[in-house]
Amino acid sequence: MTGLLLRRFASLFLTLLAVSALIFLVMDVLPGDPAAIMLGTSATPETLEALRRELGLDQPLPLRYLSWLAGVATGDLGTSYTYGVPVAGLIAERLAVTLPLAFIAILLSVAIAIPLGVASAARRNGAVDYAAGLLSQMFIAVPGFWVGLLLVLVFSVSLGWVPSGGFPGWQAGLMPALGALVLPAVALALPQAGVLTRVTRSAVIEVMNEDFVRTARAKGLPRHKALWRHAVPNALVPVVTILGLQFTFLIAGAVLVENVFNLPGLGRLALQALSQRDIIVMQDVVLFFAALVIVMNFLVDLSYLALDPRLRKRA
Amino acid sequence: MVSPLLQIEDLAIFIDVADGGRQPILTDIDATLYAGETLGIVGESGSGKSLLSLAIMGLLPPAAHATGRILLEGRDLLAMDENTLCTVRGRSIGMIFQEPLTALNPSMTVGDQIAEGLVVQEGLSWQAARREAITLLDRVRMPDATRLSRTYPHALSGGQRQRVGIAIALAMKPALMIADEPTTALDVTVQAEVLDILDDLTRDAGMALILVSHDLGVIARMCARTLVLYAGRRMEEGVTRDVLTSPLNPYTRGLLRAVPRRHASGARLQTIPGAVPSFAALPPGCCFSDRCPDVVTACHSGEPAWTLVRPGRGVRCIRALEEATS
Repeated sequence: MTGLLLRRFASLFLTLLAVSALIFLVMDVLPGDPAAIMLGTSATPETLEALRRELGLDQPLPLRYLSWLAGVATGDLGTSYTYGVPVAGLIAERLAVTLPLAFIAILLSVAIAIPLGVASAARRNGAVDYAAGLLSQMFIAVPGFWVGLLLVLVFSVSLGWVPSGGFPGWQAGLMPALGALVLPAVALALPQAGVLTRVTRSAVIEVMNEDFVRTARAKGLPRHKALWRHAVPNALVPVVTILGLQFTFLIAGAVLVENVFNLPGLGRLALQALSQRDIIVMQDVVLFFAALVIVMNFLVDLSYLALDPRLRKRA
Repeated sequence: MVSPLLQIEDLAIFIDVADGGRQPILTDIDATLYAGETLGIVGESGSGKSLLSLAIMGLLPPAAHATGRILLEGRDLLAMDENTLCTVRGRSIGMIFQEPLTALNPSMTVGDQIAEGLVVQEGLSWQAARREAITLLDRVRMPDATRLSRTYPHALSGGQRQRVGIAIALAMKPALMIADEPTTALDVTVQAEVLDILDDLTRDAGMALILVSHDLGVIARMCARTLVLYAGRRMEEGVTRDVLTSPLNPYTRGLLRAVPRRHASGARLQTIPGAVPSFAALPPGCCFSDRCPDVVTACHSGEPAWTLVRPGRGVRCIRALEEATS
C-alpha cells in the first residue's frame, strides 16, 4: 500500500516535469514578443532590449526553463508582466472562483447522472430510460457555453433570479457569490452529466446481470435494495474513471464558461494572459491546470482501492 | 394427514422468443415435498432443472413465464405479489447457487452478506446480525470465523466461498433449501466436505432440501427421492435407491451408464450419444426417442403420458409400461 503510494507520487512528479517542459517549449514558439506587446509599437529598440533583459528574455532557453522551474519549486511563480503582481497571488485569487465552480459542477453532474443512470438501468427501455437517453444525448451534443447563454436568457434576462454574469466576490456573502456561480456551474455540469448518465446506465445494466445480485434477491432483498446495495457499488469503478477523464473537459469548459459569464476565474486569467502574451502567467496557469488534472487522476486511482477490495490485496 | 411443504402442480415455463411467440422450456411438472424431505433433481445441461429452481424462488429471468401452481405451505407462489415474495425468499426458501465465485458480492465483506438478510428481513441491528453471521460461519465449519467474516470473497478459497453461500441461505432458517449444483464448481475433495456440511445442517434443522445436480453420485448421497428431467419433462421419479438400482426409463439407464466407476477399469466410459435437443426441435413423439437405445416405432407416434406404476414411482416411457405390465 505505501509502496504503491510512493510509486504513484514518483510518477506524478515525473509527469509534471514532462508537462512543464512541454508547456515551456510551446510558450516559447508562440509568436509575439512580450516586451513589444507591453511597450507598444512606438518603443525604441533600446528600451525594448532593456525590458527584455529585465524580464530575463535575453537568456538562452534552457537557462530560462531552469530558472522558472527553480522558482516554481520554491513557490515563487514569478511576476506577471501585465499586472506587475506575483503570479502566485493572482492564481490564488482566481482559484477562489474556479475551484468552487468546478466543484459545484462536478457535484451537480453526479447528482443528475447517478440517479438518472440507475433509474434508466433499472427500467431498461422504459419511459425514464428513453427520456434520460434523449436528455443525455442533448446535453452531450449542445456545447456548454451555448447552454450558458440560454440559461442567462431564461433565468437572468426573463426571470431575473440570478445575475447574468460577473462575480461579487466571496466577501459579498455566501448567497450572492453562490448565486453568481449557479448558472455557469449548470452550463458546465450538463455535458458532463450527459456522458456520466450513459456510463452509469451501461455499467449498472452490466452488473445487474451478475450472479451476486441474484443472490441478494434470494435473501429477500427487494429489487431496489438489491440494485442500490449490490449493483450500484460494483458499477462505480467505470463511472469514477469517466468522471476523472471528464475533469479535463471540465477545466477546458471552465475557460469558455468563465468568459461567457464574465467570471474572474483561472480560465479567464489564462485567456487574458494569452492575448497579452503574459507568458509567465500562461506558463503558471497551464502548469497549474496540468497539476490539477494529474492530481485528479491520482485521486481516481486511489478511489479504486476504496471501491474494489480485490485491488487492495494486489496493491 | 400432514400437508406438504411444497407442492408443484402442472408447472410449465415458457420463454419469449424473437418472433413474439413463446417457447415451452419446462412442461407438466408435478412434485410434492414434505417438511424435512430431500428431493434430487437430475438431468443433463439444458434439461430445465436450474430454471425449475429459479421458478420456485420467483426469480425467473424477465423473459421467462411460469404457469401452473407452486404451493408453499398452501400459498401459491406464482400468484403472489412481489412484496410478499420478498418475505418468502430467504425466510421460507433459501437458495445456494452454483458458482461460489460470482454468487458473492466482491465489494462487501462476507459477514455483511450473511448478516444482510437478517437486517433487512428480520429487523436485527447490524451489530447483532454480524454476531449471528459469525455463528453461522462457525456452523458451516469455517475456520477462524470471526476474522474471516470481515474479509471479502476474493480472499477465500472456492470451498470457503461456497460455505459462505450456505451460511447466507441458512441465515433465516428457511423450511426449504434449494441447492442448484452446489458442488459442481468445486474440487472433488472440497465437494465431499461441502455436501457433508449441507447434509448435517439440513438434517439438524429439519429443512427440506431440493438438490439440483447432473451428478448422480451427489444425488445418491444426499437425496431420499429423485426426479429425472429431460428436455423440460419428467422422465422418472421415485425413491432414489429404486431409481438408481432399477431404473424404468432408458434415459435414466443411460445416465447411470455414464457415471464413471472405479471397478470398471479398462472399459470405456459410456455416454448417451447426441445432446439434449433444443426445445424448438424436439423429435416427434417421445422427446428422448432420437437418442434412445430401446426406441420402437410406437415411440414416435405420440408423447408418452406420465404414469404412476405405484404411489411415488412414476415414469414417462411406453416401453417401461410394457415391461411393468408383462
